[in-house]
Amino acid sequence: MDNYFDLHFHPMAKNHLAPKPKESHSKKANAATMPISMTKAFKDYTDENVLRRLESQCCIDYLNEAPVRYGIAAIAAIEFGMASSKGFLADVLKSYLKKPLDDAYFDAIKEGEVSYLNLFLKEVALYLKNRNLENREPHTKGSLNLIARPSKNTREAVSKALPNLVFAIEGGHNLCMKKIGNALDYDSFEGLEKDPFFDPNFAISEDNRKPQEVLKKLYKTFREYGLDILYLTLTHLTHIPEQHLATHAYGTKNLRHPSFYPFGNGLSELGEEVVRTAYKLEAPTKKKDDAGVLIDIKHLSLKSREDLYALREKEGFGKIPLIASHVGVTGYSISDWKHNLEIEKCANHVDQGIKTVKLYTKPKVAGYWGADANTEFSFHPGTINLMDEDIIEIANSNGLIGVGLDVDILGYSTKSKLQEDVCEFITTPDFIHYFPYTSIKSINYASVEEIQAEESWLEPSKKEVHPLNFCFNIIHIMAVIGLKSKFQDAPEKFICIGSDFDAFIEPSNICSDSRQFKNLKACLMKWLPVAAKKYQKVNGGAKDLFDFTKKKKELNEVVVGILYENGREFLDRRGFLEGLSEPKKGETSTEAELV
Amino acid sequence: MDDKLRELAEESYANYSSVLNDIDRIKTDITHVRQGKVELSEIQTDTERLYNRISREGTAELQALERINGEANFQDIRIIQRIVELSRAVGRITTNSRLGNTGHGTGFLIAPNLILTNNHVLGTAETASNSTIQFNYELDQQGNPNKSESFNLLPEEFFMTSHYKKDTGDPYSGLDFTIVAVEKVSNEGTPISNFPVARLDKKLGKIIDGENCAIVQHPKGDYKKIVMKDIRMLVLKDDFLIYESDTLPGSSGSMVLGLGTGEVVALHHSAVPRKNRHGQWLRKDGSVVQPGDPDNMIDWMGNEGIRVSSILNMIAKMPVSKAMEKYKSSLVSVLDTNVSSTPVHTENRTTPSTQYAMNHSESTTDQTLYFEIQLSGVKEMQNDWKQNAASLVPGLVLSEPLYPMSTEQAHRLFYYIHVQSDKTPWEVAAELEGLPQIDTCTPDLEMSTDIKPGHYGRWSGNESLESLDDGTADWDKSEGDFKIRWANASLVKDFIPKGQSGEYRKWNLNATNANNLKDVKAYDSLKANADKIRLIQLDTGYTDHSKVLGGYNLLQDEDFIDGEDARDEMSMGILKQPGHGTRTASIIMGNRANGRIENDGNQGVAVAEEESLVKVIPYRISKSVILIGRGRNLFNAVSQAINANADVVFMCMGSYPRPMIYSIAKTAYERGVIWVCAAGNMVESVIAPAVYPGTIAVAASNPNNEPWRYTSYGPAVDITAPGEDVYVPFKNKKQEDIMVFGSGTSYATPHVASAAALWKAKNFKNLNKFIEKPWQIVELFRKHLKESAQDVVDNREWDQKRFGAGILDVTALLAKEVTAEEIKGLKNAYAGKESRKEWDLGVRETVHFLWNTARRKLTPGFESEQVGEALTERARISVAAMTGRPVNKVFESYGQFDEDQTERLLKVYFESFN
Repeated sequence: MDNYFDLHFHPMAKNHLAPKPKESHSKKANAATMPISMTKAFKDYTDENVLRRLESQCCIDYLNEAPVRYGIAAIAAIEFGMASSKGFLADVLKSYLKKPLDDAYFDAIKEGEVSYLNLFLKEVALYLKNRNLENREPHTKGSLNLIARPSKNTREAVSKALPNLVFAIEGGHNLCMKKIGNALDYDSFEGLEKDPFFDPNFAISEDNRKPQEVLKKLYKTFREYGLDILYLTLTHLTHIPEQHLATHAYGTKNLRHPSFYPFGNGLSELGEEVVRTAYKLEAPTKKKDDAGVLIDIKHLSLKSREDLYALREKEGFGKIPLIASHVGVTGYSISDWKHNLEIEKCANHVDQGIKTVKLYTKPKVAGYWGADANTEFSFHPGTINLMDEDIIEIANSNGLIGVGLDVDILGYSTKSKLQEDVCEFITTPDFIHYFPYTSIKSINYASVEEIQAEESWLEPSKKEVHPLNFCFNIIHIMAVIGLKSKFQDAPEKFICIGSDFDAFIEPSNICSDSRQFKNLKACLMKWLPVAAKKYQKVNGGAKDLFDFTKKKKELNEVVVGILYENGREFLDRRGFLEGLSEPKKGETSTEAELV
Repeated sequence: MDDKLRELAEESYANYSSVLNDIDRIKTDITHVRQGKVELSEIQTDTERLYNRISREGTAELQALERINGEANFQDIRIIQRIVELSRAVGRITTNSRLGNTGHGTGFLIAPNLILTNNHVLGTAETASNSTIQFNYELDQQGNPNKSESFNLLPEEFFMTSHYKKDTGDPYSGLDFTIVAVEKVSNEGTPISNFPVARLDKKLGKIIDGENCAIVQHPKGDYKKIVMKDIRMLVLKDDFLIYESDTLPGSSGSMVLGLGTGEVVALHHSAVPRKNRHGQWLRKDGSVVQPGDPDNMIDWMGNEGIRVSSILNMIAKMPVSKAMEKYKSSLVSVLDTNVSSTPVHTENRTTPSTQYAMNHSESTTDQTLYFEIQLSGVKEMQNDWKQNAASLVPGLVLSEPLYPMSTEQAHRLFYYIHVQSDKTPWEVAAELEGLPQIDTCTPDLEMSTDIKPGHYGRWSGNESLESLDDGTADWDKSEGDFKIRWANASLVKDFIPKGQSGEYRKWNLNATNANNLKDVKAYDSLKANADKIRLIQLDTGYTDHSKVLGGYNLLQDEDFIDGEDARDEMSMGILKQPGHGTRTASIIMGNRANGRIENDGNQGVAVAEEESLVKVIPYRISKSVILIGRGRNLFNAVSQAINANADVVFMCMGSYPRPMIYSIAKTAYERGVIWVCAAGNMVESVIAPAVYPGTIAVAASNPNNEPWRYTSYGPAVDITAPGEDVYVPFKNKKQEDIMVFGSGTSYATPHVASAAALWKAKNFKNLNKFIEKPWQIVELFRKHLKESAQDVVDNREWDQKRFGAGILDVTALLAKEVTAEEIKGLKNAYAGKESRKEWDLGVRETVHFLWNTARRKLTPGFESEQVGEALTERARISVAAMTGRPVNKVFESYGQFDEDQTERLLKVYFESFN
């Protein structure tokens, strides 16, 4: 049976957000491993497309079914902007029916009663409750296994039967000790439950409450408990005014709140400090090209990403691997992207006092296919997706790209493009940075009607992407690495899957939850060769660029690499599997070639 | 049944009973017609009407009579077709009242884009703007609902109404009709031209007494219905038409058709209840109607409509605003000329305009007013406001939180709203403060600043440097005057005789010890970190004056006025002071212009080695320097500055204090943003925002190290810096870049702002290390600033009560070290001021009025201006209470403005914010 690897998912998120079971039942820890349940009445009265978002899950039971052998469990505390947004979340919360979201939880966020760090630790606690412990007291049978890099502390062996998970922090807001939405008050962390083997209070740094100190403390505490963190994503979907680390990229049109608009002009000083701290945390490998916590570039605005690369270059962190945990690609290099700005459609945009530029970019064509090759496939041009420069930067750092399964970032076909307003928002300073010769003054202001009309984005709609869209993203990454970086022989080694399941994504049919990885594999086997051919027809490239697609065995190797081996090797290289007995795989590691 | 309808029914009853005899006769006759005893045409006693009716048949009289009288059950099919066609013009009106409940009525198209309904359905333009009309709301032949089409109403385009109650004072009242424009395209995208127009015919004779009628309506908002059975016109009474009906009352605004002619005869408006002798309404069973009885229990004996001809006469008479004139004339002409009823096709608008009619005040008497509000501290009230604001406030266009991303208690109360109203802002504010959800409501009006146009009075009011006509200046005169005036001033007396222009032109740098930045001990760390400092200027924007070229950071500039980039429009009008932002910024980063300016001199405080260490990011908040637009612009600018992680913000203009700006200043303080503000010019008290506890207030001094004569002063002042006769960039008559001497706390402020930026750069590392709460940065800066100030100048003790700690000393300030102990001892400027009580609305109004009037008085060119404002009663009472005197007319006319009283009142108000 095949094994799978997922670079970015949230196995406990939906259970964490669901209403808590009554006290008497809470002992049944395994409840949290099952998919969340929704009542018949709720299903009857909820839009089908919203249900799809709720139902696409990666709960532990599903992971076992696939099986997803290794995965990075990202934790992203729900942000104030999300909890207060208009859109499907609000619609679900408004419902009087029994629903799969806990009102009290969302209210606490909306009212700013707790901190993000508090929410983060509570979600961690849920993992710990379900953790399998063999090497540590008290021995418990759990449904998931948490692995860590070697240290003087006891850690768990790789499990053959359970999913082996490592943590990731999605969004620097998780490190914030201030009460949500409140720049003045700090959380008192009252009532954080102590677990027999983990006291979250140890993770709270009382003396110094800056995010970089919180990260240090968290890392130290985690390591002591045999836990580990692979990467930190600096921003998430919204602006966090009480702790601004970097400008984020505009991420979703399905939710609306002022904080979804990006703010600032790249990495802030505080953000730089957090990056430095993460990179200086000691990695067990003690190699110069490794760090305690890696940085994930997902959700960062283009300017923030460029700032990050400059900082790495300047301060000698250039060899530390970069992560792009659940991404798509724009298909453009930065200068291509600039040339394809549709300036006549752009507008100065002031909504609720927040000034941004509404940006339209012509999507880049990936290829044509279909009867008479008349369906045009294109990439998603939003700057939340990777530019060629990003891909090269990651490859050159020996990093890892997790291609996402969220249809919103994978691009369009002729049909789906018509339904959608292909625009995003960027900050005025970012706009001036990239388009210094375009006068902001010459751009029109979005009318009140236009801004009102954007409410229609909230309507749940079913967007479907063809498997080719997904494959084109992979093919483009391979083409860029194959052509523009020093790793030309095995460009696929940098690619894996970062599904982002359980983050309320709009799942694609190809793989709508974690059980469907088999289907994804079949899709890749079938469509990767087609995508390669069609991509080359439009975008050119040497004849032998995608030679692997011609032989089934080689194709299979590439696909297995993407779905499992590349991610596993990445963990292995970082020492996560070092000295831990692990299930033997047929193939030997090709790591030697790479390093 | 609501009061309005009850009132109408009462009136209709009065009409009805006044013609009771006629009605009885006609009813008897109708029975006779039914029994075949008399002809229908015999009922009509008015022969002229009968004649008119006959002529409508268009045939010989005898034939016509035959047709009219013919068997009631035989109806020409074309009439039915016509009625069916006309019924398509009838739509269901849905109104949204202020209490959130929706009401229904009926209305119909009478011109290609105008509908007619009752006044009691759409009483005001606001109601109309919140209402829609829905056509095709009916069942099809299979009994399935048709696809209906909703159109928004556009009262701002056309709105005409006649109140349902006859008011002797209003000649246009009493007919209970409203005509309002509809959107050209439905929300579903269908043009209005798809629906037929029910042409109103002014000519008489559409119906005669006793003849059948039909009512097309949406009873209680239900699917479209037509009532044809047992409805006969009974009699005409003045403007009304009474018809028989013993069923439910018709829906308000229904179309009443003559069944014989297929013409619209009336606009239905009320039913007539049966009453007993005591005037009590009766139920169908004869008992007295009880409150809460449903309509169908009441015994309705008739219905009343408004005659089409009366409506048409009224339309012709009623005056409308200019913008609506064309609608009216088109309406009248369409109605008069009897042209065919095919609708005139007008071009379809591609984007349907919504009811959010911003800034379209010219089309209605309503204008959009802006208010900042603070909600009640009670959580339920806040939640109610969030959900139901639209129903609580009539004419509410927009309601948004001022701090959408904050959960802080002090922030979540602040909302900003747009309201359409024909009342004055202060009246609306008083109404809003009456709501339990709202604690305070302050109109956001344009504010005058403390600055008057022209390079105001150096010597006296008359000798202004600046030519007021075109906003230019003359270097020759300026420098000549300077040399004479300050020949004995301590800072320049040695240089003037020797002609050392380079020295006396930068006397301000000498005064503040800002000459030798390079020699500062920590210069290296200062220089290394200076480019990280974000220094934001809130002013009129920037220009390309040679003096400041290269000193701006234009990658991050923003405009909060109308969306251009922050470039200063060099408008030379009397109300604009071109380049105010340029001049103030030059004191920070003005550099040697390399020969592009004759008589160059002076340079910015933050300039070292021919290079500006700190660049200025211009945020444009004001078009002209004497009038700040709405406070929201300033609020947004500071908000943006906070979000952009600003280090220092400076602002060289100000106005009277107000809750929203007080709040954002406090927020900036709490976020560690150093906000440096001008103390004010020619005002006896320190102005806002300088007066707020968190900001740094700067007063002005002169080349003799004395306070400038016109600087504002008071306990709020933190520091003084050179402001009188500082050498700053300007334009001459030929529009060449020149330098002249100018005065104002505007010029003192940037000295301190530069010092703040340099101080922060120099202490960058230690601040990051030691600061725990961001506000400590501001407080520590204030402490260092005051401690390092020159409190003894030219052997004189500085007047610290009125002008702050002393004159700024940049070198001494930069010599100070940041220590952890010092930070622990700092006290928050807002400590103990948490529960500042807001002044009464009347006081706030008075202050707005007095401030703007006082400012105008100081402004040359305003002399002839008519003060068009008057105080509300509440403000008058407040004035009386505050001054202890009976309200005096002196406050209200410019001519006899009482300055003492004004200053005293303003001072009390201003200092309450400190």
